[in-house]
Amino acid sequence: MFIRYDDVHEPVLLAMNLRDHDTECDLSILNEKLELAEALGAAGRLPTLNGSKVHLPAYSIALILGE
Amino acid sequence: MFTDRLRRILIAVVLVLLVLISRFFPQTQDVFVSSKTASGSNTVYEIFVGSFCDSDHDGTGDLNGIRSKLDYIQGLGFDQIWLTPVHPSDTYHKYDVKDYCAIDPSFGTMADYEALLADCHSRGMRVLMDLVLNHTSSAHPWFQQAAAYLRSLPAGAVPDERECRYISYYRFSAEAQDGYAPLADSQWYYEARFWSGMPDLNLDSPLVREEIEEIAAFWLGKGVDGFRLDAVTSYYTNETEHNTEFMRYFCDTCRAIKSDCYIVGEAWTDRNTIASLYESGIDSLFDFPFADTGGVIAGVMSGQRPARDYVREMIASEELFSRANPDYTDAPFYTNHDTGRNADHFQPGQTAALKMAYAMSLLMRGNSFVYYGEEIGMNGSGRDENKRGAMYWSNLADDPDICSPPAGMDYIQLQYPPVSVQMNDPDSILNWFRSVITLRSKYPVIASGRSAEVEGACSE
Repeated sequence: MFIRYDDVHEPVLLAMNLRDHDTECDLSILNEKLELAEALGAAGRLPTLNGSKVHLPAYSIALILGE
Repeated sequence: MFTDRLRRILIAVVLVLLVLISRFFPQTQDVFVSSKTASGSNTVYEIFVGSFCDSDHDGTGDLNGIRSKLDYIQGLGFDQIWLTPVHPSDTYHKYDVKDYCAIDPSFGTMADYEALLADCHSRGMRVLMDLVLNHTSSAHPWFQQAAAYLRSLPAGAVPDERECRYISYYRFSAEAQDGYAPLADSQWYYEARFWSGMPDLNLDSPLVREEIEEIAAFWLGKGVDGFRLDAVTSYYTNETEHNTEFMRYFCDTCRAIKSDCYIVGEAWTDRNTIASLYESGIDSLFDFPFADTGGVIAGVMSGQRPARDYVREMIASEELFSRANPDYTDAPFYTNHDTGRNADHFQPGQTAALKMAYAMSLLMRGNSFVYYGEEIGMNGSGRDENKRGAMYWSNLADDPDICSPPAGMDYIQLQYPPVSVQMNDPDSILNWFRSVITLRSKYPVIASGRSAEVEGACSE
């Protein structure tokens, strides 16, 4: 699941997996080149970004910026 | 002459530069930034003073103990502290005040409090004072004098405010009423909604309001950065309009003294009522709909609610609250001194879920509040004393910083190691909190921006 925090300066995407299983999200809908700026994993494994696809391990957080 | 000319040229150059800068970066004029956020991490560490750190080894946490732990608190990323009441009181929790302009001797002295303020301010940290205006202690001299006067009256006599001003400070009645307690050794009753030891103040009394203005001026004059208002829905029990009016009065009073004073209220109620209370112009009200075992965070983490509810409820709150007060600052929290602790919401071993639950609160908009001990996953639920146990600094049997547990607290087996151990474990709950707060600090938009859902991008 995703939240987009937005203001004029610095829009960011905060992706949080609140479940105990991995999930993948496709952000191609945004039509932006994305950058994985921060990755946190409460269970140890960290999110990854491949193009517009974000892989979120169980209980992990990714902060994504548009380039 | 030459110097004057040079000065005029320099001023002209600076003005031209300012005009150019404002042309090239016009968006800086339009940014939505809540007035009380957008610098630092906007995270507040709630300290239950008597249980946090004991500097004089009498078993009770104190102000100098807090001072000695400011490196720890700031090192986690917090930029504000909220201390539960520090005023003289006969109870361990101090939510029944005997003197609003003094410090409870078990916590230290006024000089200690001033030193704590100075230490925090020198670090760029704000200090929020817990202010209990709904009621006093029955041992407060105001109540004692009112009670003594009423007891002195002959049967059937009508109390005269000119003889004792303090009878107008409370609500007395000659007849028993719902929410009223009998005044011992008299025919009188007084309003005391919480319990008989906490007589409700009559907040309509001009004399009480004068006292409140003096109290606010006293502490703001000392350098307090704001107030956490206790039990605001009880000022006038469940009379939202009346409560809103009182909070507007209080906020106006404080801002007239200190324009950037930050005020957050405890309104343990539903979202619509909280929205109505925001019409008072108060900066923040605790976001109870997200907190505790019945809130959105617990509902999502237990699987009883879909994960997207976290975002959708956040958006719903933002829309509702900002309509009531466009400058509002949300005050998310997950647990506090009245709720069971986070670790008790999960089965042993569900550490990742426990970490994630608090991260949800820490990544919400506004000023995010964290209750002491949650950063190490302390346990504590059931009776109130259990929720307010001694901060677990180390596993040394004779650690002088560790306080005695509150009287009446059950024995609680703590599930996670103390601060001293977690500090050195990169995967600890403590270091998780540090990482999430760092994220919040690095991207101020998390605290100040608007949230939205990117729909259809991913499943649960």
